[in-house]
Amino acid sequence: MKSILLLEDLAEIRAWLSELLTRVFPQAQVMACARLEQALHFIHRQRFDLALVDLGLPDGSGVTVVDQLRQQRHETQTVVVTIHDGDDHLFPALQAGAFGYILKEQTRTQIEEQLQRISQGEPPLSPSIARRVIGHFKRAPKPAPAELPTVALTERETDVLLRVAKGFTLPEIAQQLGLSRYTIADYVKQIYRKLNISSRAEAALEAQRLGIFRS
Amino acid sequence: MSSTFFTALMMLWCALSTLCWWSMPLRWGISLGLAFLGWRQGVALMRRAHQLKTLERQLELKLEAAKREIEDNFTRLAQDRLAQVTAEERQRIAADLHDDLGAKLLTIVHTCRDERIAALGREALDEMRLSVRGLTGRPTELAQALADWRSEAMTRVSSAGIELQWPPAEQDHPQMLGARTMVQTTRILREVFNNLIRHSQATRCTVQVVVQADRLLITIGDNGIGFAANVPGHRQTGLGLLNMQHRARQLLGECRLDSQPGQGSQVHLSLPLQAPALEITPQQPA
Repeated sequence: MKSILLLEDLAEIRAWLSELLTRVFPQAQVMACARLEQALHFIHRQRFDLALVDLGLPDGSGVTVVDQLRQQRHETQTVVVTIHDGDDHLFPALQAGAFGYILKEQTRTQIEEQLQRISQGEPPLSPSIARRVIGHFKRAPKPAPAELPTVALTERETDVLLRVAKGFTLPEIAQQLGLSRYTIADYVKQIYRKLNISSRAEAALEAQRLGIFRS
Repeated sequence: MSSTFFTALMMLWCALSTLCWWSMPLRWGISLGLAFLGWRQGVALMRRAHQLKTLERQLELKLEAAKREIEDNFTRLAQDRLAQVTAEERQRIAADLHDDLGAKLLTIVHTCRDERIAALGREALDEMRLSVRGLTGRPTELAQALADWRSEAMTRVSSAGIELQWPPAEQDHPQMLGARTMVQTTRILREVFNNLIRHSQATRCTVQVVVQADRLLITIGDNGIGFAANVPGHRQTGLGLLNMQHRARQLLGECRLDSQPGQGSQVHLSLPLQAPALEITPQQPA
């Protein structure tokens, strides 16, 4: 972990998270900012290994930053930090390409643990998010527009999702399927990636549809 | 076709009537034929009229149904619009609460040096989220709620080095949990597992879930050190348990704790599955 972007508008929380990040990743350089504009400026100038992005900002939504980071293809691990615990708020960020989320009101130890796991390539996936992903792929448009590839979940990925939705944890699923936790983590990453691609296809179709209506 | 035939017969009859006596039987025959044809025409006409009447009735029914559908649609649209406006207003209040009040409470939680004040801040934040959820949350299917609870508990308890046995639900439970019940129960379970991790010194924990027609029973047992549950002022009979019991009672449920020193402890949680009145009344100030 070499460089970390931290986007959080509340000064005290920003300082707190910044200090926490330096403790978890002592070697990393943390670039902290309070505004969307500033963050966009940063990400166009340098690449980040990890980005912690708050969603509700005074000059817009953090989802924009998540989307921009994804478009740069720098393999930045984008994590949403939010005060909203409902998946209604998280899901758009996950669709835009975030690889996990952290709830701000958790204790220091909980957040540290989660950051460690995410940086080791094990993004979190809760049953309610799994259900939403399943729902998304059920109604995903087929076929996708020409410029974007059609994505579908593999049988294994669907199996993992269904098990998560039933309340099994990732280590439990690894055991049930006789796979290592890293393999399961890879499935989860694939699922997040496909959710992003499929959501973009959906957005493109929606834009086309709106275009037809307007003309 | 039959009418041309009819006219031809008529003409033949007229022609024959001017002839002599021997044409008599022929004339009778033709008369009979004419009568028969007339009768058939009449029957066909009546059948036709009957068909038309049925058709008219069917059309009337169809028209009535269409009218009713339009009316229903209109009522539904009006209801949807009302629901939408209400939901939007609730979303706005929720967003305001999160962004202003939530941000300030969060700052208190993460910056103050006094543990007691931080704990109070966290509680206030919790209460705020609870109200927001109650405002905007949709009901959750019981099976989904059970999955969420299991997953969270499993992650926390196993990372504390305690083995958790919680058999997943065998079947789908279609019963719905209101947003408030869902949040309150989540809090109760969190508190139970907090205590278990912090104080019980257990190595194993078992969770049993029984879903009855109108009640949800959850039993959480551990093999830890246990304690004298009936001694007042004990750490676990302190604020945590009181909070749990208070929350359970708010849902018209019950939370009971059984324990003996050296015998582990058991929490019995019993909640009604349908408490619609609690879902619409605003939260009472504590």
